[in-house]
Amino acid sequence: MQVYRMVVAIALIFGVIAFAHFVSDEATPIDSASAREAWKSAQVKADKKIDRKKILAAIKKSNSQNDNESESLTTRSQGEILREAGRELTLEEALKRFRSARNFWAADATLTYQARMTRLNKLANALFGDDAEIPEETDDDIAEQERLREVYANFNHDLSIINANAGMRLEDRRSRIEELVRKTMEATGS
Amino acid sequence: MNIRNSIKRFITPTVIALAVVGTQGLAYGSSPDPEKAPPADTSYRAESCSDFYSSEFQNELDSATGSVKIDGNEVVLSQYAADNLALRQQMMGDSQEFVFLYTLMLEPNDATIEQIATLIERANPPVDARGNPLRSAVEVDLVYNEIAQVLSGSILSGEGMAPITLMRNAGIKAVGYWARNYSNPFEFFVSGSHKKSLIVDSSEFGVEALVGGRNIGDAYQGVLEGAQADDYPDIWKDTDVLIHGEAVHVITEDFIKRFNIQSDDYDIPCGQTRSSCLQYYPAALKANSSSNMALRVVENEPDDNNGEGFFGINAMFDKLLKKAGKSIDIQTPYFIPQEPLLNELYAALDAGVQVRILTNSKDANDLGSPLFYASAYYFDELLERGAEIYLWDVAKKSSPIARTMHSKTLAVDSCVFGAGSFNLDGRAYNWENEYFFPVFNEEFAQVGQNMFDGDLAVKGVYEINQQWMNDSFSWYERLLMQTLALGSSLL
Repeated sequence: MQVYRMVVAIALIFGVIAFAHFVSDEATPIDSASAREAWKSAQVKADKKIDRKKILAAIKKSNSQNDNESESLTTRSQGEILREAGRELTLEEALKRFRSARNFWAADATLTYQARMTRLNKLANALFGDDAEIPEETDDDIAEQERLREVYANFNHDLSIINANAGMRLEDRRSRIEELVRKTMEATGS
Repeated sequence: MNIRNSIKRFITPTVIALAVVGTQGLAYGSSPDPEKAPPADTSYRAESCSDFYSSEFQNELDSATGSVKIDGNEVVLSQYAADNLALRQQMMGDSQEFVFLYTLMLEPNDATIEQIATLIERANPPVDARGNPLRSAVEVDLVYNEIAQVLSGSILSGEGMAPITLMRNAGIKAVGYWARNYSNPFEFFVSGSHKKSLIVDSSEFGVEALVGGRNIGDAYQGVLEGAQADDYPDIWKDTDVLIHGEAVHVITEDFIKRFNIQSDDYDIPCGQTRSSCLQYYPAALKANSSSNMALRVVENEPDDNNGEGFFGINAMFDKLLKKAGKSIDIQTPYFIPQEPLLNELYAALDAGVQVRILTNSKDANDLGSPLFYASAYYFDELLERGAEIYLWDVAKKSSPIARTMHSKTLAVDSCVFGAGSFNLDGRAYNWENEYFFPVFNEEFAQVGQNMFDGDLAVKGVYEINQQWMNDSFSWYERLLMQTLALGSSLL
């Protein structure tokens, strides 16, 4: 009965979530490309020497400064953004995610065939249900896998060049590796 | 009136209403009567901090939570994103032997790139002309939630696995978490990993750990671009704690255990005892050697005990809420309390304990309005009994995502302050593995208390009352609340 109640609840929740988004005027997800452009991280660069004492002093100082800013109401400005656990995935989106993960796993030289298949089966179960068949690979998928393998081969080659420069200062080494990681992430679609 | 409006105004609410009536009937018919809140018996409640620190209460916690009190630690609160990222980079960048990272996911974005670069640098030493490494490679091991990682990033391009594949290609051992002991497909789907920890060896401290609410990525370590002096400085508000001392060894032990359970192709070379792998347990030193904070490493592990689960955190919250004599201050992004804890909050209020809850507004909730409606279902009764409820509703400004309050903290009587990954919701209570680190120390509890009080004064945080409830929700939103609350154990 407990499981039955849960299944009923899930069905209801998904219905309600769909309803909530239907009646909302602000349910459009943000454009991720423009989001990335507008959004900088805390920007601690790898080439900076990080001073432990300074960091801890700053943290302790900020902990002691929870100053009492005046309370005021602000205009609500943000619609719904679902960003975790695929609560709003359509079948098409789930398929895109599945194919993307499969392509990355195919390009992961550290994974055995068996390890890849295990992951694919688990992911297919989670995304499409227990009896779901694994969607077939398309020519585009195979081309993408080949492209990713090449990107990672280039990454490893460039990393070995950095590593072979034994005289490089640590700060420079960190900068170079960060640059390489960024380039690789961009090349793999991030 | 167009079709959409017709559906919006009439048809959909009617369908929902019918569904609610039917489902509530089902729920009432298939579940036992909810327990009544216990009477206001104050004899168990604390009168001073020593009641929390006493061996009597600590012994109760030992048996209820399956954890032990660990004395002699030093704990530092890490609440702001820029400091937190700098600290992480420093910890990982200075490691010589190992880095153990446990996270829900690594978002494919800037803050992650910076941290991945540091990890890859540590795992790949420079080599001489003959190809011999000039130093030992640092062992970098990672546990992440596989499904959350696949689903992270852009829905359209679906590049969630990019950070993981890159790290694995660069010699980092990254294993995805999947439930192992599930008894049916549903459990397999909903059981997940949610723990967060960063453990590194350190030339200064031997070993240290940063734990709490943060995963890896711009949401967790990003600052608000162009923030004004009175703006909250970070994209999200979150809370970690840095730990030095013996407690780090306990966290390390758990990481190694969990990594080896999940890994198919590589085990961290460590047997059942610490003595078989002392390299991961160097002496744990402190900046201030006289610091002596007692804390516990408490876990929920739903996949343990052959799938029956182990829920030490639920028990810890239950005990602390029962013991509270003056105040309970809760920060949680998703306030969906399960019945036992809700009853303890009622009991505390009935006993005259001040209860303050800070959670997200509808717009600030990163998981969207359904989660907010599920929370709001509980507000009426809590307000009626005297709880103070505050909503985190800071302006979005330059942020491309919701400005979420993501801290998971509990302060009791300014005597105990704990942070961790445990949201006060159904998922944390029933389905996800979690950490919670209550610190039994007045000095540290005051630091946490100050943070909570300061957060209530952040621009954009406001207190709600019954009138606000009446004014804010339409009839179908009320229906949504009720319906979602039926599924609270899943949210």
